[in-house]
Parts: sequence; C-alpha cells; structure tokens
Amino acid sequence: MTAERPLLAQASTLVDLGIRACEVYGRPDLAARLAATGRALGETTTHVVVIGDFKRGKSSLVNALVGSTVCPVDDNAATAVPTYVRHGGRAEADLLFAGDPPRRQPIAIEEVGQFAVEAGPGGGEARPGGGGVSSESGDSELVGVEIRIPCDLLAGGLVLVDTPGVGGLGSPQAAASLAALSMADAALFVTDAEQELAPTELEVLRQARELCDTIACVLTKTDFYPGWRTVRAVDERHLGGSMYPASAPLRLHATETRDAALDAESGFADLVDFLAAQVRGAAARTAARAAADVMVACDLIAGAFEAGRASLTDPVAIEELLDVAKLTGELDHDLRTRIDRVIADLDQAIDGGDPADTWPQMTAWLQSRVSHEAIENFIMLCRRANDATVGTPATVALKRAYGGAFRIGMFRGLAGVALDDIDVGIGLVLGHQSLRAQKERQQSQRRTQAKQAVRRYCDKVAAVVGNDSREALRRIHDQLHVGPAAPPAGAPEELDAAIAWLRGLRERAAVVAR
Amino acid sequence: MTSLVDRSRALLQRAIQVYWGSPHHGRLVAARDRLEEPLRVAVAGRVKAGKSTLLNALVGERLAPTDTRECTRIVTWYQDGHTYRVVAHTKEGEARPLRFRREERALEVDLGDLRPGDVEQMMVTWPSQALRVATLIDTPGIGSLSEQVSRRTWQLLVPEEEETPADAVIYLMRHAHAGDVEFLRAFHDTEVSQPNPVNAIGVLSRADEIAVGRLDAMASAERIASQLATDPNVRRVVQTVVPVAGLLAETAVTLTETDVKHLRRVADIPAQQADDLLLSADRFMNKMPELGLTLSEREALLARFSLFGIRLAAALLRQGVALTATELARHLADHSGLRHLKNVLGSLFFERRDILKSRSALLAIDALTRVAPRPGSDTLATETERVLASAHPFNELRVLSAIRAGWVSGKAEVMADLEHLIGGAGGAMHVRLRLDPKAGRAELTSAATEALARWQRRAENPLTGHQLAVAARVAVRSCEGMLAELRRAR
Repeated sequence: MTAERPLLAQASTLVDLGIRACEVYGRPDLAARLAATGRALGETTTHVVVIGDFKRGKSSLVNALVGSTVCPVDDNAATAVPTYVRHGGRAEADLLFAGDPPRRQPIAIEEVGQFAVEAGPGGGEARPGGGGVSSESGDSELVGVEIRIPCDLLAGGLVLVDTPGVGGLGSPQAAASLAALSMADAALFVTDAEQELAPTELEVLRQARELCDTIACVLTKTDFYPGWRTVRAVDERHLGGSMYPASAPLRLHATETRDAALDAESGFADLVDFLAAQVRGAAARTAARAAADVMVACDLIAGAFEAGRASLTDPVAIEELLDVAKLTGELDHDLRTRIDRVIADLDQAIDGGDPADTWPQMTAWLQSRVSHEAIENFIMLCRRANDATVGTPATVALKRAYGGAFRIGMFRGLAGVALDDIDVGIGLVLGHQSLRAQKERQQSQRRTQAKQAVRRYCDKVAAVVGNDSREALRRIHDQLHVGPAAPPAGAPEELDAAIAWLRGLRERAAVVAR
Repeated sequence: MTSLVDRSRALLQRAIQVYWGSPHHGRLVAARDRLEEPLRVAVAGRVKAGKSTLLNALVGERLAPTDTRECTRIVTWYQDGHTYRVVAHTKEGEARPLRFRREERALEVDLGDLRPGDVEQMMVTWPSQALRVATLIDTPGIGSLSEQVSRRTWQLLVPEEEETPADAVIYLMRHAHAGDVEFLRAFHDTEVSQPNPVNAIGVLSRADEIAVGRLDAMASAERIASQLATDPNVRRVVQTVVPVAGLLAETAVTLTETDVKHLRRVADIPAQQADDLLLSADRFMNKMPELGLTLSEREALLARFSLFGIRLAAALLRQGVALTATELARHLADHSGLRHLKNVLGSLFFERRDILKSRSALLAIDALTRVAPRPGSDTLATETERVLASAHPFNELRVLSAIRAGWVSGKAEVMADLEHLIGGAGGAMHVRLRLDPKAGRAELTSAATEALARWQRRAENPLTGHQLAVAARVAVRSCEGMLAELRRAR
C-alpha cells in the first residue's frame, strides 16, 4: 500500500496547484471541478461487482470474504436487489430508493433479509421483499441495500456489490447488473464446482468482459464436490485462464474457530490478494484520473491564452471527438435492428405453437432476449465512447462518467416493463366433432393478440433503453464538456510566463496520469 | 361397456386393415403391440440433472452409466426380458447385438466399430421386477455444450409429426432453470388438450445439493418442491414435484456390507472429530490416517454417498437408529425421497396406465390419418376423434389440464375438491373422495353421494361460469362412476 501513497499525495499536490492556477487565471468553474476531484482523492473506493448465475453462491462468497453473514443466504430465495457491502465504524444498513442521489432509509442489519431477497419460483407472494417494494413514506422503488460493517478487508475502500443472479430468475435485473460492470473497478464471476460452465454462463462472461477489463473467475462449493479439480480444469479450458477455487463454508468455519490451516484450505487467501491488488490499482487509477483533470484544466487555460492559434487542446476538439447526436442516432438504429430481429423470431415462434400454452414461457424468453440485446447495445455505446476518446485525457475520465456516483441505475426500468396478458377464447372445449375446428379458430385469434402484445412490449423496452442510453451519453458529455475559454488578459511576457508555468504543471501531471 | 383399452385395440385393428400394405402398416402393428407392453416412462431433464442415477435407483441396479462428465449420449431403453441382452439400433435401421460386461459402477457396453453418432437408440433387456411394471427410457440431457446430444433428446420426446415414444415422463428439474419448463411443455403433445400435465411429474433432483449437503438438506428441498408444485407455470406442465436425492437413493437400493463396514469406521469416531473430517471432500480424502480406510475406499464412499450421504449414514449408525445394513438401506431410501417418488409414480402413472397407453395409441392413429389419408381413413379419423373427445377418462384428464392451466378457476377449496374428484391426486376412490384409505363402503358411498349432489347443483346453477359448469358435468360423471362401482362391489 505504501508504494501508492506518494502517487495519491502527488496527485493531491497537483490538484491543489491546479486549483490555484484556475483561481488566479479567472476560471472558478474549473477550480470547482478540480476541488471535487480533490475530494474524491481523499475517499478512494474500489467497487468489485459479484456476478454469476442464479444459485451459484454469490452471497455466501461475499459473506465468507467479510467474515460474517451480512448478505441473506437462503436455499430457495435469491438476491433481488444489488447489495453494497462497505466499511463502517459499526454494523448498519440502509435501504436505497430511486432518486439522484438515492434516498436512504436506515434499517436494522437483521432486517436486510426481508428486503434484499425474493422467493424462488413457486415462492408465491408471501415475502414482503422483492423487486417492487415501496418505502414507508412514498412509493419510490427499492433500488439497493447498503450494508456497512467494520471489516479489515473493506477498510481500504473496497465495496463488494452482490447482485441478482444473471441467469434463471429475472433477466431484466441481470441486464442492470451487467451494465453496472462498466462502472466497476473489477468483477468476480462466480460459478460452482458442480458442473462445467453452461453455455449461458459463458455468454454472460463474454458480455461482462466487454464491459469490465478486470474479471476474476471464482469456483465455489469446492468443499462439497470431490470432483472439483476436474471441473476446474474443464472450466479453465473454456475460459482460457485460471480460476480461484473457494469454499465459503470452510472460510466461515475457519474465521469462527480461528483455524489457520482450515483458512488455507478454503482457498480464500488468493482471492483476498486479488481484491487487495484491485484496491491498490484503484488508488493508482484515482491518482491518474485526478492528474488527467489537472491536465485538462491546464490545456484549457493555456489554450485560451494562446489566442489566435488553433489548438489541439481546444475544448471544441473534445466535443468533436464525441458527437452525441450522431452516436445517439447510431445507437437507436442498432437497437431498432436488434428489437426487430427479436420480434421476427417471436412471430415465428407464435406461429409455431399455441400462445395459450406457450405464452408464459414466451414471456420469459422475450424478456431474456430483449435484455440480451439491450446489453449488446450498451456494449456498443461503451466501445464507441472509448474509441472516440482513446489516448486523450478524456479516456480516464470516461469510466467515471458512466455513473458519476457508482450505483446500478442503467436499465433498472426494464424490470418494470410489463407484457400484456392475452386471454381470448382460452376455454375448455369438450364435445364431439367440432373439437378441432373450434380449437383452430381460437388459436388464430390468440396468435394475433400475442403478436400485438410482443410489439407493444418491445416498443416500451426500446423507449427505456433509448432513454437510459441518452442519459448515459449526456453524463459522459457533461464530464468532458467545459465552458468557453476566458479572454486572455495581461502583458505578453506575463502570458508567456503563465503558459510556460501551465506547461510545466501539465507535464508533471502527465507523469502521474501515465 | 367395453373398456377404453378394448376400444383403442379395436380401433388400431381397423387402422391396420386400412393401412394394409402401406409403409405405415408396421408402425400401427407396433402401436398395437405396445398396448400390451408395460408403460413406457422416459426420464428426461437437463444434462447432469441425475437422470441415470435416478433410473438406477428405480430399477434397483446400477445399469445406466453415470459420470461427472457428460456420458449418456445415446437414448437407451431398459426393458424386462428373459435374457440379458443389449442391442444397438443404428440410423440405417440395422439391429446389432452388442457385447457387454457388468461392471461395478455400470453396464459396460462395447459399441464395437459403431460410433455413438451412428446409433439411433440402444435397447437393454434385463430380467427385473421393476422393469416389468415400466419400461424406462434414459435420454441425453438438454442444454449441453454439445448441441447434437441435446437435439437427439428433443427428437425422442418431441418428434415432428408422430406420437411420442413415451407414455409418461419423469422430468428432472434442477431448482429453477428457464429451459426446464419450456422443454417440458414441448414434450406434451397434441390432441388431448395442451398443455398437458397428466403424463408428467417433476422430480427436484439432486435435492441434497440445494443446501450443499447440510444435514437438513432434504427438509429444505421438500419446502422448495412443494412451493414449485404450486407455481402456476410448473402446474401447467407437471402434476406434482417430488424431491429426490438421487445418488443417495441409488446407493440405498444397492447398499453393500462393505459400504456399511466402511461407514462404521466413520461412525465410530467421536462426533466432533467426524464433523471436522467431513467438513470437506478434500478433508475426508486426506485426513485421519488412523481411520483405517485406504484412499480408494474413501474415494468410493464419496462417489457412492457424497458428503451428505456419509454425514447422514454415519449419524444414523452412531445414534443406533439403524443397526444393520438392511435397516440402514431402508432409512437412506426413505430419507432420499425414493419411496415417496415410487408412491407418486404408483398413483399417478401406474394406476392410470391403461388410459395413458390408450391415449398414446389413439394419438398415433390420429396423427397418421392426418398426414397420410387413405381410403377409409376419414371414418377411422372420425371414430378416433369421437373416442378421444368423449371417453370419460380423457375428459377427466382434459379438465385436469384445464384446471392446471388456470382456464377453469374458482375458490381454492372448490378447485381442490374438483381436482381430487376427477382423479388429479390418484385414481383410488378414497383419494378422489379425500377419505382415509381404511374408509368402508358405507362411508365411501355417502361421501360420493354428497359429492354428486354438490356438483350437480354447481353444474345446473345458472350463476356458475361456463368453464366451471363444463368441468362440473365431468365431476358428476366421475361421482356416478364411483357410485356404480360401489354398487357392483356390493
């Protein structure tokens, strides 16, 4: 950790110098931005998102990492909303409700289970928790749970984010979890030793890798399956990389009994090292981002001073890099093409069966297909934004820009889009000769209804995804955009000195920003 | 009145005459023969859902190969017979006898120069009490990385335009997989209303693993299974869901004295030490050399029992709940859910075997008359549709499906009454009337009479919705049938 301290300290010095320069040269707006950057340096956080299929042991893994059962674990229920586990002086928990910033409502830590999980299939409506729970005072939607506990592992600013399962249950939530990866510092992809990776898991991992550079794959339940080494070998072939085998029960047991040998058997040591490395890396990245902000400020002021000369560092150049209107058009087109493909496939499926019995399954299929396409569309957004700004100070700022404050917000609305019921003429037909003819007539009516419902659903989804994309682009744009340059003032030799000084500061910042 | 099977047989006989000399002739003869054979039950589910293990548990012998890697690549039929025989049916239509050996873990079949891809299906004939009741069909799993294997299962269970080769299905579900329900739905075929939960039951397989081998794992699995069984989407496709710890079930029915001798070594060490040893599979393999078990003996125990089974069996032996191998086997079989499954199979499949088999036969004729019309086939089709549409047992099934699909709805108590009366929980009279198995004739008669009056009122009440009124008339018929049977028995 000590090696990174100077980096953060250097960045802090640079930011202070930058703020002073901005104030002296009449740019209070830039000074305010740098002040915010300076504050962020003081509270470096590292967000590591835990993703994986339903029932692979994500919550158990988080619990074992922090050494206490903070995330609810249940054989049948699954995590319903993202759960953020971070360091705090004492054990506390807040419900987070939709809003910017999210509205908080403190709850007892023992109550987390009532809110953060939803019952499995067949669990009925008995549980008070679940996706659409409302706060006491209003009707805003529960978007997350934050848990703060005293924990050495988390003390360095690490935040573990437990997410709803990506596969089985609701795929719209999964889309939100995946989109959140674009803002995370790293991710743990969790699978278990029961069997080799399923094709759906590999597909999720492919998308995850598009959105996050640092992903560690964890193999859980190694205590229970004697054949875990074989599964690991097969998985590692699929992955083309190594995995972290980990047994949560052994780790928890070892923590309780302070049994070092058992802790070593649990396999958690390597995983903890990985997380520590991410925390160190995050410090370096934060320092680099701060330095990049200083560079941008220097460029802007110096550019304004170098009046009459077209400058590469003109803010307009950054705007040109990211043509929001053009990109929005491309994204919309891409999304429409994808959705049209889904509709075509669905039409075919509807014609191939009777919606009376295929409808519930088709609903699930439609949701998962649409979520998949939404993620692909979002991957395109991230790629374009990265390509446009690669090699500029904007690149480092971009990551932050996706989310501003880290939270899972993208595509959250997907879960709320409902597919209309179809109900024409589903009836019990008993009788003689007319059985088949009657059934066929009813069936064709149902098909028409089903196709219309699919179109309405897709239109609503396209609207949600389109809105979220535009919102993300707007945030990225705002981060990169700065006001017009102030008119130069003062004698030429003073200006030259100022420009030289700013160049010097920029070079120092460039070293840190690397 | 002639029985449903007799009417189906007669129709098949006519169909054979109509299609005499056509390429479909052989198929109809096969369908007629099938009517006399045991019920065909397919074991289906995703890759590694534990199909082969469950099949072994049901047969009571280790026949089907099981492995951690995907291995059941060929559709394999297990049927009763006088001699031990394995025959491969190739894609070219050739039947080739294969050499085989009985190994400890499974039947070792030598394909000779055949590749798995060349084999359409494999027929294992094995003298067995269990197979006399039902022919079992082991299917390759769906959702595997090798799509070809999946497609083969699909073709077996969902052939494009034919009747399905299986009369009933045990569908293994692993907790919640999106693909599971979809697959199951597709299996259900055409005419006797769709979707059709009448010929399928769900098994929540590998139930011990849901709670990752904790001692209370089965209690947890039972809770989940009963929740699943009330889920509307699951109810549409299976009659009920039963939790089974397949591996434990298989081991229980094949338990050896050697197993018990080795388990006693674990049972004889103090509970605390045993818990420590059984914390993980790796520990059990490597710790406590004083246990007196070799590496391969430990490995074998893990493979046969899993950590869960060893924990459970050691506890049963230590506490003196089971003293002998026979007692231990019984306890383990009970605990694994196998006995419960067998009861459910009995009341929902085997009691109804004539209906299920007739249904398969009639669907075969129905499908054929549609795709291959011939002189005389139109009257045959009319006759077949008439039987399918009017036979009371089919109407019961149809109403049952409609209730399951949520098409017929009403107060929960009324629906439960209706479902039981039409045989939804089993065909036995006391089950239909929800009475004790020991209920006497007088008690049965008075309960059936009351039910008859109740459902007659509902059928005639103008305020009863159309769907429920139709269903009520079927319930009335069921009650009349029961009363007639009670009178005959007098």
